[in-house]
Amino acid sequence: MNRTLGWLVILGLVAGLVMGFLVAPRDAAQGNVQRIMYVHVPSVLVAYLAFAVVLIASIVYLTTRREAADRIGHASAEVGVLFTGITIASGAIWGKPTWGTWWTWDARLTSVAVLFVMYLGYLLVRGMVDDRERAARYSAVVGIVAALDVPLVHFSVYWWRTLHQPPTMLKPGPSTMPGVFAATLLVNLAALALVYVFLVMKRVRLLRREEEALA
Amino acid sequence: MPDNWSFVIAAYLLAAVVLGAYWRHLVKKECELEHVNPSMSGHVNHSGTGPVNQSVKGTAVNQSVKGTEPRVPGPGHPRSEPSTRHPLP
Repeated sequence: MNRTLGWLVILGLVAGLVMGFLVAPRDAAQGNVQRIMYVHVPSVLVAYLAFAVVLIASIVYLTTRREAADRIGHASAEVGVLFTGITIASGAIWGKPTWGTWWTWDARLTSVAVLFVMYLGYLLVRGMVDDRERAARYSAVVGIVAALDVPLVHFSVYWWRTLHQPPTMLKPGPSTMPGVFAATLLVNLAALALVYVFLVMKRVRLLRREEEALA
Repeated sequence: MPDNWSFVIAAYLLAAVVLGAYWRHLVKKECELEHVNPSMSGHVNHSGTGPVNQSVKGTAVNQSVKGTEPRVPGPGHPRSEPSTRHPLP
């Protein structure tokens, strides 16, 4: 299962690179720098997924006290932080040639930065509290509170006047993107979602073994 | 608009480095765990409640508490006393 998933991840990433660099044409307005969007947009969507999993796992843990839920939440938060970091960094790299600046305190950028810090806090709480049960309980509460920022991030471009453009995916109505751009985004999204599943599964296994070693 | 290939390559490389570094970190952690408790490689105690590898010599992890307080199976993390906790090497 694990090996099959590993091969699927490699296949997905290769397909994503082929689509992003060979199949998708150069953007008429932005030039080739638009290809960064094939990393940036899927990364943030996978981060949303990761934090949704943290939210569900946190609720399940607080209601049932199942260790498996806590491990899934912990692993998902770690991987979600990675993808949020990639989102922020790739956005900054795209912003420099496009907007002329690496960073601006725009509503979308700021809310994503807050999201990043909140989940770093989640991981910090886990590391700071020695007692595993208390760490799991506290971090589950942080995981629920931090999830409130996800809709804020997504809708910030509608609620405030921002430099960031409105979402190209996860928006109501039909897609305004040409088919080849949408297909490239979807292939890269699938590839990064597979990476997410693969990393979370591995991290959950390791967490279980760590706990067994310490028990 | 200029193509800015250097920015494109930088973004893709950065993503690859971040994910690759995390992957390496996990593999390293796995190796450390196998080194600490070799018989656990490939073994998973799905219940998470029972004693693990009591027969392994040289891996004295919380041996002192075993037998003093019977562990009651059930949901939730086992609560360990601070004096019995040992960090992983």
